[in-house]
Amino acid sequence: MRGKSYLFLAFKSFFHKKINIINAFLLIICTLLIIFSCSFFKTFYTFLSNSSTGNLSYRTLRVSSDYSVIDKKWLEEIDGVSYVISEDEYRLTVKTNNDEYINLYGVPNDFIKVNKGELLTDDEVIICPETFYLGLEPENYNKEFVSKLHDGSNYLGEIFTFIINEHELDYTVVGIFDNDKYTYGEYNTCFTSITNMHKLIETELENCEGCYISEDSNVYVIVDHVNDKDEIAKKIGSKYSVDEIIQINTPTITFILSTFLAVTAIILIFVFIILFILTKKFMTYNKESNLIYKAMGYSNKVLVRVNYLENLILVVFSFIISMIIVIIIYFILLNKYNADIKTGINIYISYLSIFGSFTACLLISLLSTRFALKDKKKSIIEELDDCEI
Amino acid sequence: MEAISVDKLCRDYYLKNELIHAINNISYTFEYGKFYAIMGHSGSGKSTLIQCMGLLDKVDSGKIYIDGENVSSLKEHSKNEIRNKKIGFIFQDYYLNNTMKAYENVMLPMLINDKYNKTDMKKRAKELLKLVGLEDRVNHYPKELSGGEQQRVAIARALANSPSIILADEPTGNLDEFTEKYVLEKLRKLADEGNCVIVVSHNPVIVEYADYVLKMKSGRFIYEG
Ligand SMILES: Nc1ncnc2c1ncn2[C@@H]1O[C@H](COP(=O)(O)OP(=O)(O)OP(=O)(O)O)[C@@H](O)[C@H]1O
Ligand SMILES: [Mg+2]
Repeated sequence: MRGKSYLFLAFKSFFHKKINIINAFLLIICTLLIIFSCSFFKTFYTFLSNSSTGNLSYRTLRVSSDYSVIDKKWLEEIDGVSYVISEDEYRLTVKTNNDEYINLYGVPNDFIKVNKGELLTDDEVIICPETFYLGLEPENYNKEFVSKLHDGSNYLGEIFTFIINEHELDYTVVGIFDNDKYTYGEYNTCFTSITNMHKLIETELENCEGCYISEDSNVYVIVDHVNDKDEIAKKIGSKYSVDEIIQINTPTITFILSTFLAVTAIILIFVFIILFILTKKFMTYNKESNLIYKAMGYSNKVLVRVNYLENLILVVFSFIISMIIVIIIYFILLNKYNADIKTGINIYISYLSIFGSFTACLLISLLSTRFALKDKKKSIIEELDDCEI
Repeated sequence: MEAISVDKLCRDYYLKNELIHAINNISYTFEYGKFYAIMGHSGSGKSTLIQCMGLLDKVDSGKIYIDGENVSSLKEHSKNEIRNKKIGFIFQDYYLNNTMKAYENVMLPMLINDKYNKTDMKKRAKELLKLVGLEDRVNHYPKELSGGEQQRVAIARALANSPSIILADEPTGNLDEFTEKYVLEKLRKLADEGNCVIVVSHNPVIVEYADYVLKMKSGRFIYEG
């Protein structure tokens, strides 16, 4: 029999059996469950891990000492420390001549990797985020805030004039960095070199009586990974007093993530069990239609192949419908979400789960067809043994 | 000329440890060009006999010859070949595929017959439908057809590969008198054209069409004539 005829029979048989509606429905539900639970997990995993590693403040320790000058060299040489900076030179909010506000941090020149443009130098340059908001960080991330988010790339090469103590200082944007990597959830933060930061702060303190950049002020220690923070803090703690500028409890995050992972895994296991039990039950032979096909001289081989093909069509059909639903839901979610709030959570779809759910459905459908065929009670074909599946 | 002949045929069923002789040692020869009617009470073994002769059921002992060839010992694929080319089956419940148009249903037996290509198949299916008076129902789905029309589609399907033996199990069971008459006349005509036609029926009118009437009881022929 020709291949086209197989396809013809399988398609007709697929639409012939009402049970296929239930089967398709089950497969779609299970596919959606798999994709959504995995995507949910991926979204939260990315959010939690980005917010714990991305935000520079989470990676910063404040070191203070009541008795002695802090030995910066010693701190810098500790394993896992990115750089050390004195508290006075750490951060400054500057106002531009257009009444815009930028949060400036002083960092070593090669510390921030750029997506576009160039690295920092000691010239009067700054690098700014990909998603850029010129203003004071708002209390609520509302619609108005979202409408003021700009594409940082548009500012590449732009010159900002900072007004500090009636001085006008021109700084050029030379590079664009990825928000998520350094300043998770902050959109008005730019970076400049430590030298420039020093200059800016001196200007700021110019007219302030008794204000000066103290050599023995507290220092900030920025670590490479948020996970190493506790250990480094312990090491420093033997000499100076240490505290975190924003506390982040890594064990809690790990706990939340493992709970999410466990829940996702349980959902997946349940889905597979349900899928397996139900498809095994539903994917039966249609006794009557097989009697007539046998009477017409169809061999078991042909009927078996048609049956496999039919279930394959079922899987593909359900998968296409599931994908359409996923895409629709994703776009609704994305649109709604972008219009209303921006909390720093990006919605992700787990591509692996799409692939995985398809494979799972395929496997289960093929296996259960096999079982249904082997189960002689369900099969009119008495001489099934004669034929090779 | 001899079409099907059965020799000491037996078929037993076990139902709750009780042995039922559905066919109890039947020997008989069916010939070409003749119309046979098999009658009998419900449960007398008519369907079982016709399914055994059509190679749809296995036998416990005895032999079946088709065109003089012992087919009870044949391999499955050879049996399929015989079912496809030599035998046309008609059932009480027409068993049409509801998702296929009338002509597609008629095409089904031809799909596994290498003799036809797609255009031939379509052409022949339409010819057959014309033969049973359904030339204007070719593109209808079974649901859009009456019971009698559906059975005529089933007859056209049974004739698709021009079989020389027609086995019909209560083909008129669901039909009104008028359509029944039409169907039986068609079957009579097939017998006159030289085919062997074997029809199971409860209805006594069949006697008017049959050359031979066989009465069954408890798996045996109790009356032949
Ligand atoms: N698959 C089966 N399992 C067990 N017993 C069966 C099976 N098929 C048929 N029988 C038994 O074999 C006997 C003959 O059945 P058969 O279907 O041939 O009767 P029939 O003459 O066609 O009846 P009817 O006129 O009602 O169609 C009955 O007693 C029936 O119970
Ligand atoms: Mg019967």
